[in-house]
Amino acid sequence: MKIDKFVTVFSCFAVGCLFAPGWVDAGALEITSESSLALYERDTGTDSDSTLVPFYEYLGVNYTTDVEGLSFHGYAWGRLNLGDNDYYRDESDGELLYGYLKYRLDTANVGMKLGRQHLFSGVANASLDGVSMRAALGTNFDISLYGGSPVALAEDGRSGDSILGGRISNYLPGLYELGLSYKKIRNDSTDDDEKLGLDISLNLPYTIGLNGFSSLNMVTDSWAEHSYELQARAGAFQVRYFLQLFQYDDYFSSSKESPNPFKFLAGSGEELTIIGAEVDWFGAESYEVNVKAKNIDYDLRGDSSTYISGMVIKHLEDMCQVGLELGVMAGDTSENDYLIGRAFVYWDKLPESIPVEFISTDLILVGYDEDIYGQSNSTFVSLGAGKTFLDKALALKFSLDYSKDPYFDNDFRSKLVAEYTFGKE
Amino acid sequence: MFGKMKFVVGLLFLTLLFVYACASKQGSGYVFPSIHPEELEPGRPVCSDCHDESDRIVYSRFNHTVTFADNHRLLAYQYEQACSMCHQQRFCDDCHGVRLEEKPSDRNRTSTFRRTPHRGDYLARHRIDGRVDPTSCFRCHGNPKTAETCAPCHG
Repeated sequence: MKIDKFVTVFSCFAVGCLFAPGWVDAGALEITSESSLALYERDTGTDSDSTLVPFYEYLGVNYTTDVEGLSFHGYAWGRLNLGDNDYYRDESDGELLYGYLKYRLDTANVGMKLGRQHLFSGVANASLDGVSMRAALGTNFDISLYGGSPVALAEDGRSGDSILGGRISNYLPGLYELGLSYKKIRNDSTDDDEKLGLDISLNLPYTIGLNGFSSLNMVTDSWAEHSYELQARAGAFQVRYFLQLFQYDDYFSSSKESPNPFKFLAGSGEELTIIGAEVDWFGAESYEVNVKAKNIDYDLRGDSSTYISGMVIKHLEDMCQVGLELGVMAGDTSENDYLIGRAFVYWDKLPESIPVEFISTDLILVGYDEDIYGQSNSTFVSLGAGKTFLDKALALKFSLDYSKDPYFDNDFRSKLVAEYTFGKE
Repeated sequence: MFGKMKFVVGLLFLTLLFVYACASKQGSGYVFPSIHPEELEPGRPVCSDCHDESDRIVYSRFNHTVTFADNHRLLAYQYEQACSMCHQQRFCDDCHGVRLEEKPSDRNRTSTFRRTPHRGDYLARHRIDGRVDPTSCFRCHGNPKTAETCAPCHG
C-alpha cells in the first residue's frame, strides 16, 4: 500500500511540477476523457435481475515540456456504481494504469521512464512501479533495463516484491535482429518467476522473413515456449506459417501466487503444439480476404483440434468497412467443437440528412456441438451510432447490445459514451 | 540483503550505462522517431506501401492485415518502439490492460472494425477456447491481479 500511495503522490507531484508557472505555457498538454454510462441487469449476491448503472471515467494526460525530451504520461480509470446494489463490492473502483515521467535523448538514442509503466520487451510483459531505460551501444547494439515493484503482486502487500530484467539486441538493418532478454520476479522475498528469452527476426531474400521467440524457465531449467513464424509476400498475397510449442510445467507457474485455473496446469506434464498457416490477399484494392487454419495437438491427452476460418472485408474510404467471418473448431472431442459466424458494419460516410455520423453493427452467431447449460447456440447483436462535435474534439456514441446464450436468456445492455480530447493538434 | 545488493549493483550499472550512452552521441544506432514522421491517412496502415525491405526493421511485417491484432505478439516483443510511433500506451491497454474492469469489446462496442478480443458471447466460448489453448488466456490473465475476472468462477 505504501508504494501505491507513493505512485499516486508521485504522479500528482509530477503533474504539479510540470504545470507549475513557467512550465505550463511552454509545453503541450493533451487531456483525453472517456466517460460512459451503461445500463444492464445482473444477479447479485442478494437479488436477481438487479439493475446496474456503472459510470466509468478513463482519463489520460500527456504533457510535453519545453525541456527537450521530457514529458509526462498518465492514464487511469474509475467507476461509480449508480445502481442500488452491491454488485461491485469485491471489485476495485479504479486504478492508475500508468503514470510516468519520460526522458528521451534522440541524438544518443536514449530513453528513460520513471513511474508506473507497462513493459513489452522480450520475456517481459508486465506493469511495474519503477524505472526503465534503453540505450544504443554503438551502431548495432541496443540495450534496455528495468527494475521496480511488479503491480501484479500488489494484492498481498508489496514488501519483498521486485522485478528486474532487461534485453540486449544486436542487429544489422534490413538483415536481422537477435535479442536476449531476462526477467526475474520476487514475491515476498522468494523467487516467483525467472525466465530467459531469445528472440530473432531474420530477413531472407525474396521477401521471406522469420520471427521467433523462445523462453527458458530458469526455475525449472527447461524450455517453456518456442514460437516461430515464417512470412512471405508475393504480389497481393501475404502468407504466414507458424509453429508454437509449450511445455505446461515450465510455461505455467505453480507458485503460491499463480492463479487458477492455470496453477494446476503447471503440474500436468502436458505439451501443446500449434501448427498452422494463413493467407491474406489484398486483392482488388478495397477487398481483403483471409484464410487461416491451425491444428492444436496435445501430447498426454492424445487428442487434437483444428480451427479453420475465413474472412472477407470490404474496405471503403477512411474506416468504412463491411466484413464477414466464418470459423469452425473441430476435433477429436465433440465438447470442443463449435461453428461461429460474424458479420459487421462500420459506416462513417452517411448522408447529411441522417443525424449521426457513423453507425456500427455486429452480429455473432455460434453453434455448439455439445450443449452448454442446455443451450446449443448463442446470438449476439450490437447496434451503435455516434456523432462528433466541437471540431471533432467531442464524440458521443450510443450502443445497444442483445445476447441470448447459455449464460443469459435475453440480455439487453445499453451504453452512452462521451469522448473528449483537449489540446490535440 | 542479497536481493538489495543486486538491486543496488543493477542501479549503478544502469546509471553508468545511461551516462555512457549519453556521452557517446557519435556512432549511436538507428533512432526510432517518437511519432511517425508522416501523418497517416485514416484507415488500416499498409506499411509496405512506403517502406522497403532495407529499413532498420522490415515494416511489411507491420502491415495491419485483418488478423494483425491476433498476430502482433512477436513483433511487439522486439519492436515496442515501432508500435509506439503510432500508438500510445492507452491504445494497447484497450485490449492488454486487463487491470481494466470492462472487457475490450464492451469498452469499444461501436468500434466493430477493431476485432477486439472477447466479442459477443465469449463467456460460453471461453470454456472451449480455454480448454483447447490455455496458453493464450495465460498471457493476459496469468497473475493474481489480471486473473481477478477469472476468480469468481475458477476460485
